[in-house]
Amino acid sequence: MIKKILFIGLAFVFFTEARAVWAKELDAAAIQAVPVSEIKSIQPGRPFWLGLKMKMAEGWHIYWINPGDAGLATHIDWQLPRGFIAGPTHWPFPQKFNEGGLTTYGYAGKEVFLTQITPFLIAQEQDVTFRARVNWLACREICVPGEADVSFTLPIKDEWPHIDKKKKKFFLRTMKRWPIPQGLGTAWQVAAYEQDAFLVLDVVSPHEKFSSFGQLIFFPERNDLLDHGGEQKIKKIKNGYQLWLSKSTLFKENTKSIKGVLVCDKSWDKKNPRRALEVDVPLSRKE
Amino acid sequence: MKCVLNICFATIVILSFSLSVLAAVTVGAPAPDFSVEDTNGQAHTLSNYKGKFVVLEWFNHDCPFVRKHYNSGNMQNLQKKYTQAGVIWLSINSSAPGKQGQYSPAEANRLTQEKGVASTAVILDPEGTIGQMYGAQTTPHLFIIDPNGTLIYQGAIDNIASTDVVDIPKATNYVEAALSAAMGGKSLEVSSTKSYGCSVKY
Repeated sequence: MIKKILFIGLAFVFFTEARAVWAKELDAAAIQAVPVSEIKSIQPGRPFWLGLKMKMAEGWHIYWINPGDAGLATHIDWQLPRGFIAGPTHWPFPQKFNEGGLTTYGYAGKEVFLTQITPFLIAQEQDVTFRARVNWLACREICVPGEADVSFTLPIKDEWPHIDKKKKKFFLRTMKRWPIPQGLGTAWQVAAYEQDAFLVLDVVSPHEKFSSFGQLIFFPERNDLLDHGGEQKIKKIKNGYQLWLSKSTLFKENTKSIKGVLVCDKSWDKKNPRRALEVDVPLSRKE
Repeated sequence: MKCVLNICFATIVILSFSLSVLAAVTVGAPAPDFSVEDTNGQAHTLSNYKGKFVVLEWFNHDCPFVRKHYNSGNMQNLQKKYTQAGVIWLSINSSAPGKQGQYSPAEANRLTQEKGVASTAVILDPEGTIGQMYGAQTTPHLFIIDPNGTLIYQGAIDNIASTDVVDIPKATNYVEAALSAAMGGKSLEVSSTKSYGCSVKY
């Protein structure tokens, strides 16, 4: 029996590897969207997570909510059965790409986008189907727009949902790449102010001792806030760090707040493994 | 502190040149002058076009954003409308040799015919000189220069960043808005936007 499973397993691996190579030739299939569910059944009233695993073939990337200097943000739209509500898509922190001198933000290799679904109406025991349409722009030296329709069919059962431990662990690993919501999970504080052609972020810890960071990168949510290709200069200050960001040539004079994700090369807190911090702070002018 | 900052800034500027980071032109300032040859060997010098409006349109026919505007006829309609009104419309390709969207003059002319491109001329800029001079980041990326040689608009062609042709009629076309205003002697509501598209393949 085990031999049989191994053989099928190997055949499957071979098939998927072969498919992955074949996919390289067909640019449109350079991106794959695979549905992942941690639960095997839905218990009425109990929210659960659904994941879209995106696999980008070698050299290809898709874009973050702010794609940067070029590209197009990835979109996920849900079609839900009656009685269910989907929360927002959770975007893990992106990475920077250099596209011929232009700076863009996105994902390469593999990434997972999770959404929490809440069942509102107590429905009879039946199978329900959730559909997600993912739209993206995949770029390498060329860009190819793409979309995929992904569906999840799960039974509603009035019992504790059996959770697939492997998938649960997989989701938990994905959540480590989410930004820590501001004010929660870390004592670090961020303050933002304008200084001539720069936007400055003061990143301070209330503790006297704090871990030293090698690298801090700020990813703005708005496309017209920063010069994406500009150097983000980090300076050590009392109780923390200061990040100097060059304003975009399109920076609006009456900008009142800064929103984005601050990513560190290590975790922000000993107790919290996450490396990204959500920033949503007012922008003041330094006196 | 000020001295240190100045040195830092100078270092950044020097690094920028060696990394050939794009220059940025300023709306409201004189547009940088250039002299280029089109796909038919004819010369075009910006300063010779004083007295006319000039549109610079960066393109790459293999880019899905450019295809959106060309497959729908949107770009060609704009080119036709405004060249007939006396605007000089230069379609510029800054793809480097070996990179996507780079064409020989003959290929470019064939594509011009095939797609019904109605601009004044097509300029091939494989060294990326004009692209870098203007800071063209994406295809498409539009720049509008007024009869005095002042840059009056730079940025996206319209306000819906997508590759879907159905978005064209829904969108506000910035080029149309800018040229109508400027040609009517009015000030522009929107003079600078973040361009959208594929990165220019320098």
